Amino acid sequence: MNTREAIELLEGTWNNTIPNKRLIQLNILKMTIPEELHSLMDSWIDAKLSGVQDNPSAMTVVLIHGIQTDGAWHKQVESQLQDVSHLNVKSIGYECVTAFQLFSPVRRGPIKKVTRDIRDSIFLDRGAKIIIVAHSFGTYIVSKILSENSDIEFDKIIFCGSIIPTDYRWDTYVKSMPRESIINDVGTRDFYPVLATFTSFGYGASGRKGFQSPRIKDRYFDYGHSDFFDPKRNHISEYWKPFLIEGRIVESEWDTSKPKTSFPILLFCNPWLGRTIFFGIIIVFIVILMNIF
Amino acid sequence: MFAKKLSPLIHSYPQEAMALKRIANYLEDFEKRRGPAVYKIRLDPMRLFEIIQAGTTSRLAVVVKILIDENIFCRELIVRFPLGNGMSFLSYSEIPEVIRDPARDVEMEINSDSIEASYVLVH
Repeated sequence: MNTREAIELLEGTWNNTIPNKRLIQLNILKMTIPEELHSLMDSWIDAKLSGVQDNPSAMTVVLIHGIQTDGAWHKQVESQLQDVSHLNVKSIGYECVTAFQLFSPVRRGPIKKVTRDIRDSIFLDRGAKIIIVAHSFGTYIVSKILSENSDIEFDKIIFCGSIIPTDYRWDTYVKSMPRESIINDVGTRDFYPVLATFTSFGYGASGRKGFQSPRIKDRYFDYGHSDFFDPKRNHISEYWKPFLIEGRIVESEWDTSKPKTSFPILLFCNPWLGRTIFFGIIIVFIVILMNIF
Repeated sequence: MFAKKLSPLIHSYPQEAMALKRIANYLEDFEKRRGPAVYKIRLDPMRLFEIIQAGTTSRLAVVVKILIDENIFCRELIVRFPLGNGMSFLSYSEIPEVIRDPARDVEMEINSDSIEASYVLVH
């Protein structure tokens, strides 16, 4: 039995017992619960007996990092949000994913692990709004979770360095989320989403050119792939914090002053054209090598 | 400073780090202002909920479990009699179904309304 199952049992017993028999019933239940969970059980009863109610503004911000990192930026987000009432940050990680794995079709492990952890967070923080902040491969994981688990819903989402395909069906997978509750922070100097698009399958350059979809607010910055976490740019407190706390979107000046995306980049942002060119070049190169040797 | 006792926990329980930092800040601030009176702190679940900004009952329970398991706080349960006096217990399983009220010399059935939970610092 884990924490989640124990709390589920406690809540069931609490709700289905008349008030003056609750303690007796809970003590009977305690005998069926492993000893290591007794302390949790007593803490939960303390809260219930004292009339503690879930705060309607409670929020849980779930952070999901990209590949070849342990998510050092999670600590920065945590410290920036430390002073926000009834807000907690959950840092979700997974085993290190290498660039080779990123480009291979073997990607299920991290998706399964993050799905499990998110389910756990949603259960343990029932009553709290769940907000996702994901970077790079983390954005791909979130897109898979949304498309494969219709029961998982989020209050808000922030993407940065996104590698989700630009034709992702937002209209199908986040129907219940209101407009402007998903932000996609785009780095106009970020090459990784483009690279992932033309060298592999299932990714897209949304972190470079945006989704350009009515359900998503694309916001452009003169950034590279991980510049969102550069402390000098103050991106978390300037752009993410107002959105997380008040739902307010702070516009980026770069939205209107950014230069036009070059044609070769646009070409490689298109998965079919980009892959055709890339793999075509590789094939030609191999043929030339075979003729030489 | 008593709050330093929480530093290792903040690293050991990263998922609850924010809540643990908040209680550490509270204790540190209290100790700076009131010195050794920090050891007399008694918090009820409602107050602790506000200090750690738990947001939800389940999160409060998880954080209290950590604080008690790691000997930062200990739980005290007081069964309050109608005249205001009470009897203290350390866990719910110790509380009997019926208890004798010494002031009135009558037996009374215990229900959830007569139990008060609080947390005191472990010296």
